[in-house]
Amino acid sequence: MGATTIPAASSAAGVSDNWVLISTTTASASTLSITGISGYKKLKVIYNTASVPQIASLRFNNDSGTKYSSAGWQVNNSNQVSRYLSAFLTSSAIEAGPSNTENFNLEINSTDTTNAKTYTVLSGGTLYFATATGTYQATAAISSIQFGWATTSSAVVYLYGVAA
Amino acid sequence: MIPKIQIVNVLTGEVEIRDMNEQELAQYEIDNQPFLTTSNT
Repeated sequence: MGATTIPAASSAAGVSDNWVLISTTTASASTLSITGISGYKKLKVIYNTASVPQIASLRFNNDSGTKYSSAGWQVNNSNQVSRYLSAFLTSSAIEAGPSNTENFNLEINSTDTTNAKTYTVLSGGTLYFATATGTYQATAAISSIQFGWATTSSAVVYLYGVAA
Repeated sequence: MIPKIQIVNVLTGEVEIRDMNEQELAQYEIDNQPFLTTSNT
């Protein structure tokens, strides 16, 4: 048997995602709409702030059409699956969270295409951790993201992107 | 008190915070319905 040759790491341009920080926003309302997003093929939104209110809705392009399908589960602070998240063709990218979301991580793929977009959400708080993956069935590139919270939020929201 | 909406344009840097209009408020109230029935576990 011949020796195994390990391929050299590619140095071709464009291999790395090269995430860049697009904006940092301190929320001060019940709904936050981040607009003017252009020229990115992937987007990521994170926030990690104590006592951020419950998530009520998450939308792209302010689109409240029934175009979002997601599935996942929620684990409570006793390490038990306490809820299955299952939504097919609904008007929000994720189901409303039953508890404060102190740590939120959203990644959206194919944001610049005219085909469906996929996304994943990880979120957690003192009472639960939830994960879900979803599909947004829309043809327009994503140029804005809308967060709805149960009450006024003071989350510091970071938006990252990978250039198209 | 009417909930507020915050709009941030990352291209121009413009930030607007205002009361929700009638349509936005109606959608917001629909979105908040689950909190009336979902338990905290």
